[in-house]
Amino acid sequence: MTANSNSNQKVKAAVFKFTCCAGCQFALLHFFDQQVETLELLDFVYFKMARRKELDEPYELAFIEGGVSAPEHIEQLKAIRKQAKTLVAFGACAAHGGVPAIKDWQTEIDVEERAYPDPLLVSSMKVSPVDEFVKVDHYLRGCPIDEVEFMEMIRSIAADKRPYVREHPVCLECKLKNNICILLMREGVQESMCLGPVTRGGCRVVCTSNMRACFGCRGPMSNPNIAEMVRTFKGKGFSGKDIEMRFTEYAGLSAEFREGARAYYERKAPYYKRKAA
Amino acid sequence: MKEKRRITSGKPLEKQIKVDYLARTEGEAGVYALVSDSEVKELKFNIWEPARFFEGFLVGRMYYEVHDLVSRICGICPISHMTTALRALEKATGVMISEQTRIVRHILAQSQIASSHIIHLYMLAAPDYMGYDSIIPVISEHPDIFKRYYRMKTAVNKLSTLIGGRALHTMSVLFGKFTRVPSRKSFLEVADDLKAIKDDALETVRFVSRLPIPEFYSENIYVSLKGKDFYPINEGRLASTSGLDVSEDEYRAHFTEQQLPYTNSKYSALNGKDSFMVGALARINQNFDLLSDDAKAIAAEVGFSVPNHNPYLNNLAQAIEIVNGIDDCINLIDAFYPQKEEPAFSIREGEGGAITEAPRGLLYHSYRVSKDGVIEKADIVTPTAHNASNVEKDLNLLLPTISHLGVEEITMRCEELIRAYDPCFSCSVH
Ligand code: SF4
Ligand code: SF4
Ligand code: SF4
Repeated sequence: MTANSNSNQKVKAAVFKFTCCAGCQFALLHFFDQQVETLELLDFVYFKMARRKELDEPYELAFIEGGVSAPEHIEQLKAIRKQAKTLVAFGACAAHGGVPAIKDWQTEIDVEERAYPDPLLVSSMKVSPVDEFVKVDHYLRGCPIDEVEFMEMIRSIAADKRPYVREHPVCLECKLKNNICILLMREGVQESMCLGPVTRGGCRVVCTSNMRACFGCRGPMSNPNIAEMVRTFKGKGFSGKDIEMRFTEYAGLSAEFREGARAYYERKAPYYKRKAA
Repeated sequence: MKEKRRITSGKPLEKQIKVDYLARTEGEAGVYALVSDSEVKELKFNIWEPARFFEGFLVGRMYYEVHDLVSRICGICPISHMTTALRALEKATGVMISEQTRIVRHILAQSQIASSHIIHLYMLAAPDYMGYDSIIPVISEHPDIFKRYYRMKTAVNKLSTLIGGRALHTMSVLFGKFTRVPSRKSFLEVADDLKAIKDDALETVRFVSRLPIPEFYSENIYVSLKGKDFYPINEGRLASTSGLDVSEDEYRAHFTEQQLPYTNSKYSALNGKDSFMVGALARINQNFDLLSDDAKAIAAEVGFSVPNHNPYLNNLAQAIEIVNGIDDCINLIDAFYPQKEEPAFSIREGEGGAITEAPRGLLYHSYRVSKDGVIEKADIVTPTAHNASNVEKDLNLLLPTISHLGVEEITMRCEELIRAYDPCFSCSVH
């Protein structure tokens, strides 16, 4: 589609949900009324949370929310990829596996048995990000996605332009906002363990602006210095366990955060193994 | 949706109701029913939402991050999961929170309940009754209704954002405290916004009461928290209309869960056998006297009285709760003078459970924490898991009474009933 033809033609979009909390689609419902103009660039032909309508027409733009956690998801994803001209990983779960991917750090069957008396009745496997199985064109990161970034992306896609990809860390936006640095100023684990120096920006630093340390929900920036981040945390007296937890909350499957978690993880068996030994 | 009629010699007409993926609900579920004359041959309420095993992977995590992680069970009621987990963990580790933290958590929870109800009523439930497949046509065809919806949602989200940092997945909430508490001035500003939408809230009750909501009688056991001096949100006694009245610590002695082969949500039962209903209707049925005066007055105006046994009217109960929630927040803010506090605490090992009222009803979390603060056991039961069995019960009751209608209409009625429960399938399969 060219930039000229879309002035009177909406982009047909479909929203698909996999393994996640549905918070990102819900965020989209929130934007509906505030961003009517931008959203008018789209025609949601399939969006189950908002509309009672089956998938019965073609679409060009697919939003994938959630990670992949069951064998049937893979086939569904591949079919979506075939149809969609543009595929967007929508939120931390789709981009990095998100919170549900925490279970990948433990033995699958142990985790399943704690939750269900008979895990065999439940179809499930390790959680993976969407790009493990299909090519992703654009990423909307964060848990949940950021409104401004979302609108920006819609306008870019509708105009057939490449959306702006942020390579910088959260720290940069934090400095521009003149926030007090939590990592330097505050004490105690939850208060000061800020992942901002290695996390990709674009969230308008909602957390640090509310006195909350960044917990890395947008995943790693380009070329983060993970080793230095771990050294800083250790220097501040955080335990290996604390460091492992921080790196594995929202984007633990990314190679970079995995490295951070492993700084501790490899030397010591994780909790559940120690307990059994 | 497929229509299939089978006529075989001597056998009555069979109708098959099949919805693979219910629209305008949170998460993924379907319903399948086979009705013959006035007999339900087969019924399956299938929640196929993928399992995420929160109770499994929380083991081994640290106590201070659990509330953030469990808030990702649900994108609509994250604050409820957060608050319930925190209360359970604080109880398990012997940490006392300040009165101020308690009040702010209450206001935050009320703002989320109002927001969730507003979205459910206008975006998810009402389009059925107005003859639309979504809210999008409402924007142009009924701008007044849409604008009312928009004003209300903006105001309550402003309150959530003021306290929580943002309306969805708040980040100012910590174990034992808040990162910061807003000033009295900013609270009062939002209180003005709430006062400004009070009429909209009353109008919402009238609007919902005028929707063509079906007459349907189903006498349920209602389970909710029961308040003493105020409408229960984050604390109260665990009570049912069948006579249960115990402390939240006794939850597990009365409520059990069962796994079924055709659904990923576990089904809850009271005393090993009974299905029951939780949510706004259950809360109002048990706590009507504790509603604000204006909420009671508007209930009387639209002819809503308790006990009420029409599950479709859970929608109306939600609308009345919005009025109550706004009043509650305005009053609490009025009397609230934030103090600067720097709470310090140490944790001990232990186990503890807590119950709160999420927008969709009773929510239970329980944890065991080691002396190092590591989670050793997690147990979570959500409103939709509590309701699942009752939804099936109600469908079983409803289907024979409407089996003479066409398949499309029966399907719609079933969907409306399920949507009236305001189910959250993501929650139920956590
Ligand atoms: S990224 Fe976060 S908000 Fe979005 S679906 Fe996943 S858990 Fe929910
Ligand atoms: S508070 Fe965090 S994000 Fe902000 S400058 Fe400090 S380390 Fe970076
Ligand atoms: S500050 Fe960090 S945790 Fe917070 S939204 Fe931004 S990336 Fe996510």
